[in-house]
Amino acid sequence: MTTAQVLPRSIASLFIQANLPGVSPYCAGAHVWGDVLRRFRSERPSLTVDLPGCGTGRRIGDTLTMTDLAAAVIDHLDEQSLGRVHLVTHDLAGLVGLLLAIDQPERVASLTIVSSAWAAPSGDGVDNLTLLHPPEPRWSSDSQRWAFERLSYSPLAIGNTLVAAALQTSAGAAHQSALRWARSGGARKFLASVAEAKARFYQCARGAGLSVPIQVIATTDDALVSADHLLALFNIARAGQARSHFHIMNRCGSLPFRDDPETFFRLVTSFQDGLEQETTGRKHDGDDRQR
Amino acid sequence: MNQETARASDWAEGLPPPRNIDVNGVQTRYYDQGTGPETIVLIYGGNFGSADSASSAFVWSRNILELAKHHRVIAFDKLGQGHTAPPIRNADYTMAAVVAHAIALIERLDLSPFHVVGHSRGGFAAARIALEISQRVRSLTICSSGTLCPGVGLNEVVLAMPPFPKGSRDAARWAYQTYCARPDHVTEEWVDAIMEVLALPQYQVGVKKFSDELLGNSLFAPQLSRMKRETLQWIADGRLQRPTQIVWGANDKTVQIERGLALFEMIRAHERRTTFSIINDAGHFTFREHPQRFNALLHRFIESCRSPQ
Repeated sequence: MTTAQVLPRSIASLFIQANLPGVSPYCAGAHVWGDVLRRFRSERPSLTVDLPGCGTGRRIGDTLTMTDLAAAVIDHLDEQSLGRVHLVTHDLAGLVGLLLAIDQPERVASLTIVSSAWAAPSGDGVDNLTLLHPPEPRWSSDSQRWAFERLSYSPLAIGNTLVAAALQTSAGAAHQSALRWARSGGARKFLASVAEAKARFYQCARGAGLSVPIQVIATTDDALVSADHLLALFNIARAGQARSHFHIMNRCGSLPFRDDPETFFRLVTSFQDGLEQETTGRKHDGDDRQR
Repeated sequence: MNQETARASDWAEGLPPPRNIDVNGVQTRYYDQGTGPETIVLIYGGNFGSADSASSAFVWSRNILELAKHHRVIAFDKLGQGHTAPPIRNADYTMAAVVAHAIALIERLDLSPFHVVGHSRGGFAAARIALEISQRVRSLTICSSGTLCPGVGLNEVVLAMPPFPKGSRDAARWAYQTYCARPDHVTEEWVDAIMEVLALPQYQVGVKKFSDELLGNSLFAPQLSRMKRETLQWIADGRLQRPTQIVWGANDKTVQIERGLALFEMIRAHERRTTFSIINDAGHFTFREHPQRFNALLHRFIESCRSPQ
């Protein structure tokens, strides 16, 4: 688990970046967000948490499911005495965020899903080959740089600091446990829990709908998930949740918070600002809020 | 659907005192609130001559005061709309004259480089301003502009044959409720403002020009068509070179999302700082239907255009 500066005002934002640990050719975790966190922290409480197998998160035992990942987030919120947070999620964490929005809506002030193929409907399920052949040795500095550069729009978004942090993470207990878990077939079982989590979201969306405001951020040049897929996710979510936004960022890849941190910052913060102003800015404060 | 968001009637309406200025012989009403350092110019939609949907700067009544906490905000009544006088010559019942009037007002007010925000037909005017006097424009925000984007507009389909007498309060309310995602997004204050404009003799001059003298079909529409073709060509050529934010309502029946996406694709090809945003539970009037989130989106965009990119 990692945490960070907490400012004594506003609802905190919790940033979660995760991929399939032990399988994906780069080590995920809070280090991937990069300098954009400093931008958020300049004006609002902003924290990070690493999921099991990622970054400095817990070790993975014999089994791991999507439910375990969601539970790890709740544990972190409890440990930090955080009631509600704005969740900002990337990649696999997007689906974790959806589970939390379904099961623990009282803990989620809003959910932002960024470039998440995991949360989006799979469509025809064509294999994505973007990260098919990472250079050996895997999870080395060069191999991880290769992965990051294939995911970003510009190689300039991938600095030595990121690669060094990812390399350091690869030697950590979480990643090493993920490697053992993946080699023993754990990842295959995990994917079944992914399918179940997505099905639960679709069931929720076609029924009562999410009670948590949600926004989806797509990009024009994401090698892992198209804007069309994420627009489909938005359309599914918005059918049951009025307070929902969708955005497309131009000339960004799978890591838009690195390709264009300023635009990413303004899209995330404007949604959170607007929601918070809606709760305080009504003409008739009182009864209407109970509707 | 989870609609914990408030009804539109929950949000306060508010406008600063109006001002008047002579712009090349046209008495023009406008609002000017806030001190900046950045200046925002708001341009609403519609056009002169419309008998049921008389737009005016009132439509920004949920945006001006909030945005003016951080910026200088100018919202004006366009040529022949709201409380601004109609064109002096028949030949000026055109979109080109509307844009020329807007630019003349901007020059008359001697505005420092500004951020232009346009809705619907106003989105077209805003884009023309960004193209024609780009040296004075810092950024462009386009809201639900079927006039600007490629594709087929559905206004005439959606708003065909109002079930109420032409020019009546019920007809006006019905038109705007049709534009919006939900009927309760249209407040009685908004309908009051529409009816006030419809009752103005100077507004009725334009209505008669369109209905009796047929200037709408014989002059305004064909000129706009030619101007749109030129504008889209300019955009395709890469002449639009300012940060551009496109905001659409997910439930806009008159200008569907696909057309906004097509516009985004055209602009983004040449301008890196282009974003496309959809607000759910919003029809054609995102900035009125969900003002807090729209204002936050616009404010943050303006702020981002101030800082080095």
